[in-house]
Amino acid sequence: MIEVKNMKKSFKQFEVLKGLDLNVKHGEIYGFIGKNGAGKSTTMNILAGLSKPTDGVCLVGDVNVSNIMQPSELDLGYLPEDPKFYPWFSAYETLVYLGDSGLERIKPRRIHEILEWGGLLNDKDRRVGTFSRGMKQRLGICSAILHDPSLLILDEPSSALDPQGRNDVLQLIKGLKEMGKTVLFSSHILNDVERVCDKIGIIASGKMVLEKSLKNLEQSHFQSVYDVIFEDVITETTVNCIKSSARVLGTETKEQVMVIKMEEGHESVRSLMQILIDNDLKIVGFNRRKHTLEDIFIKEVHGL
Amino acid sequence: MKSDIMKELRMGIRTSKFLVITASFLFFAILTPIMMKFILPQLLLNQFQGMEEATISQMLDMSQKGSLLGYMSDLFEIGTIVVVFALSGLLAQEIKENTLVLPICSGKKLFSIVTSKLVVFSIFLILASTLGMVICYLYAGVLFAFDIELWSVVVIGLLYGGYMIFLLNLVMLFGTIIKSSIGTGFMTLGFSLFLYFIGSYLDVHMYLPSGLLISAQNILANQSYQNLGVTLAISIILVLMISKITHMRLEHREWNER
Repeated sequence: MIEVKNMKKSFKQFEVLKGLDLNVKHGEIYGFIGKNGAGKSTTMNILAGLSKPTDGVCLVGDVNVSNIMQPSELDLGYLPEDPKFYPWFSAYETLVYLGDSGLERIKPRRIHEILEWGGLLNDKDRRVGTFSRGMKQRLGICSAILHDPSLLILDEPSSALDPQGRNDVLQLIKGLKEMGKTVLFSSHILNDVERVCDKIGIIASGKMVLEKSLKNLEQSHFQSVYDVIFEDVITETTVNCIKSSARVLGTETKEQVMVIKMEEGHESVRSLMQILIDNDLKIVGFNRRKHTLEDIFIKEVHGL
Repeated sequence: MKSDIMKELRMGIRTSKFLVITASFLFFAILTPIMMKFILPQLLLNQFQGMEEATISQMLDMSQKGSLLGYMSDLFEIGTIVVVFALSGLLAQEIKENTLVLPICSGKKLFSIVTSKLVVFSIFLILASTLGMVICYLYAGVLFAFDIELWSVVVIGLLYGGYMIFLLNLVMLFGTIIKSSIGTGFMTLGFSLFLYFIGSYLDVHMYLPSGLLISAQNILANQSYQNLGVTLAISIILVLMISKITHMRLEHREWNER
């Protein structure tokens, strides 16, 4: 659906994108994450046809973005980071206006349906200037799907919103997935990305540093650290028993909880379980720690 | 194009742009004859005590023609400022606020957006300046006497409207260069005054849009339509060229410039 290879973009002397690669497949919800200034919005503006890359290949569908004259030549809906509407238009008038491209005119019935889907039907006659930020974001998403595109590019749709507004927007994005749309959305709220995305891409200093499906990412970033909760308070003997295994690299204890760092590999789990059974150590909890997306992000971006 | 025209009409009404410009035009159209008939003579009588009313009447052109000349002067000196600053954000603000991004992404054509602005506000400016001129004519006729043909006044109104259209085009062009509405307004005013100064200094008004104002004065003064054709043709060509440049500047614009 989107194929970006070695894309570069400079503003005068400043190179924002330094050879970015990005791949989004049909039907995916792709979370594009990165720090402020990493190049997310620049990438999204290029993908939406609002800006041209300095170098590299950028295909949206089968269309090369470098060759288009107008953004509307791309079959996509775009929501900018801070969507700006005419404050003197009502929500309904906004969609009627945006729905009339000259060649195609969206029917009032569909506009009502979209407003209902976006939870704005009751406010359809209110001036957009009186809308909250969350309502404007929802109206922005409504305008992005107005022409029923197969791809949606949403730039920070949930940022700067209160928890309720964020939840509403994320529910809409989930709704888009159910409609079979492909969605590329950027965010620096990693929890939001984890909640809705199938795949993530991390951009840092204008380059993609990691691009994986969320499932693969979770598997590859499991670490061999276990939290074991014992039935009784941990004694010196218990600690020594655990440490007797060659695969145990270190332990930390606090009352009934022991954090055990093991060597990498599947054998480590089996070995730890064996020690517990052999020494008849009674446990009430056993948990293998996994990295959060935030841990992965910090590791990939800062190399920590 | 129809939806873009409707948008501009709604914008003009809801942001009070139409109201502000019409009100200022009508204010001067009504005030100028009153000033001529009552206030100015009284001021002069107070200033020069002992002066006879007949002498004052000789000093002032207390007639319908005099009122219209006064109104035309007000329209050039103050009306242009009102028009330029009321319309200065027409494109500049849209670019600064990024309100054009969603329409462009929704399939709107920049040509249609720009042309709609020009069409709606050109028609409005023509109507407003002609209406102002006719109201001044009628009111001054009631206060003094009807000594001019209505048709001439309508032509004068249209010529002033034409000059306002030239200003509108400048506002649109400078709006693509300077994102600030105020900056656009000052640049437009400065440029138009510079052109007027050049026209007067080199006596080439005939080849400049400011010649429309001079032609209007000539029509009022002595029913002379001399050189009007040349000035009109040059003005139309200039307006078309400016709107083409405006359109080209928008077409080649990147919407995430830093």
